[in-house]
Amino acid sequence: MTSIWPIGGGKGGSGKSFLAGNLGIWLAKQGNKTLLIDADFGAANLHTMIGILYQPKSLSDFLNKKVQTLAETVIETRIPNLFLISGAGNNLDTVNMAYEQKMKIFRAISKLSYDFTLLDLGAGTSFNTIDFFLISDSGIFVTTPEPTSIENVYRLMRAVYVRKIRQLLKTYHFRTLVEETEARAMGALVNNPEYLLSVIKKLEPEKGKIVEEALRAFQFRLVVNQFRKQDNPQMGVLICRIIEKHLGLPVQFIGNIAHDDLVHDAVCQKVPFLDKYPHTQTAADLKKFCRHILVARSKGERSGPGEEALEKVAEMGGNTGGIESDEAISRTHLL
Amino acid sequence: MRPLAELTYYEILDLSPGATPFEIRQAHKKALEVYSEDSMVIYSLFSDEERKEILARLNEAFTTLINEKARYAYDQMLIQQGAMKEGSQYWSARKKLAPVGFNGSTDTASQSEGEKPQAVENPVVKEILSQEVLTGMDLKRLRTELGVSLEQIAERTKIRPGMLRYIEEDQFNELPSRLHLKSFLKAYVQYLHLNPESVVDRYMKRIQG
Repeated sequence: MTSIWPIGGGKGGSGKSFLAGNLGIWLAKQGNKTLLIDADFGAANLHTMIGILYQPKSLSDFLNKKVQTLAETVIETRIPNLFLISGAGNNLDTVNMAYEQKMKIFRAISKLSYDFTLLDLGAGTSFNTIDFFLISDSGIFVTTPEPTSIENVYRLMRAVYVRKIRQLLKTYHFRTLVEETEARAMGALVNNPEYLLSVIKKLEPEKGKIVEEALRAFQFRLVVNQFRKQDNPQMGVLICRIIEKHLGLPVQFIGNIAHDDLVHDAVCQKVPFLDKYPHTQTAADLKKFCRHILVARSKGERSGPGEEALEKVAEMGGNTGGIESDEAISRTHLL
Repeated sequence: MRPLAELTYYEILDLSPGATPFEIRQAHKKALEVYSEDSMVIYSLFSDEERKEILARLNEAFTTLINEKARYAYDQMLIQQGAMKEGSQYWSARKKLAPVGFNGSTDTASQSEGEKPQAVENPVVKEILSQEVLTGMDLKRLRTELGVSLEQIAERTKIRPGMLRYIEEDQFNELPSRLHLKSFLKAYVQYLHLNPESVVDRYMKRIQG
């Protein structure tokens, strides 16, 4: 089964595509059949990161039914074992993708046979970004050691978890739940997963237990990118501890990745950073990050969607119209 | 936010139930930094009110855990609630010895009495205690037999290790006045859960003589 890793981070420029690209190249070179999917609709440029200038096919061809299967949109790269589904050429329609279309992509992705599938997600907390975290139990959040980036990563994490809870409950139940929670919180914003969970548990203990177990299964990771010498090296660990303590969400810190101006050079030259500057601190940090992901898969961590989850997704997609369900959720995280 | 009241004082400070006073001070200092107004780690996560509430609770946790008696009472409460396991407390980590100086606390008294027989039943301890006079060397043998280090006694009794060493080495010239020496000895012996009066008297005998 393919190991699926959504990579997101809320803020633009935090290095999502850089990490996704380099992780993909490294995994492929280690002999793993790896697929990169550029899911940064509207601002796709993962192809540039791995040195592909022309994309004959893209994800939108699948959505627009120009091709029958998702597999037909896969592009071979110059690196053996590395494949790409480009996000370029996606028009505005794809930016505002309907829920049903996303489900179509999810189902198609889980049917592909790769060792690793990496999803490069866009900035922001739009439903497009959030929903792509629903496809897997694993996920990588990227932040830089700046308040703006940390703010966005907190926002994204909350939104993803709230969306996960919602995914597990039927819409009408969720609505009553939200109303009930709002009443109890005296009008406070219901964007706190732990609080939401405590209300579910009170209202319907059985359902609460299922949701709680499902949430505990998520193995989210945090990476601090563009780490400079003067930054606090403990920051990532502290952030994860704070999230666990106050939001009740388990997040694992992978490590800091050193800032280096050479990253800019590598991106400009459109060459893989690890190949061009292998003896830098940044390269060493990157390799540590890559190894972490490789080890997570070999440990047999459940990072695919699993049949059960897929059924739930299908069920959700079946009885809720895309736009309507998005509306329902938007009330719950007024971000 | 997750209700703060649900977190124990140990969880708030990221401490294990067996944390030492030193660790508690360190954790408190670190937490004050993390939740300070200009902390980047928690940026945007809390409202100012929430942050102040957390800080207030942090201080509550610190003042309770750093105070021996308050911490003991708090631990007992957690154990009763099932939030903490009997035996995981700081005091039990240190060979199940109850804190010294718990005057008037019946709980502690009964606990230390419960420990006494174990120590007295030890043949080596029995043999030493049967002597008419006790030397510093005897005290040291008692202490090592019971698996207690000088540093542990020093940390608990606040008597500096050098002074404890003088007592064990019978360096009478370095010892303080009789009154102070007696109270030092008493604290030392109490930590070993032995009967203070009889041991202290037998040590003091030699100084009188």
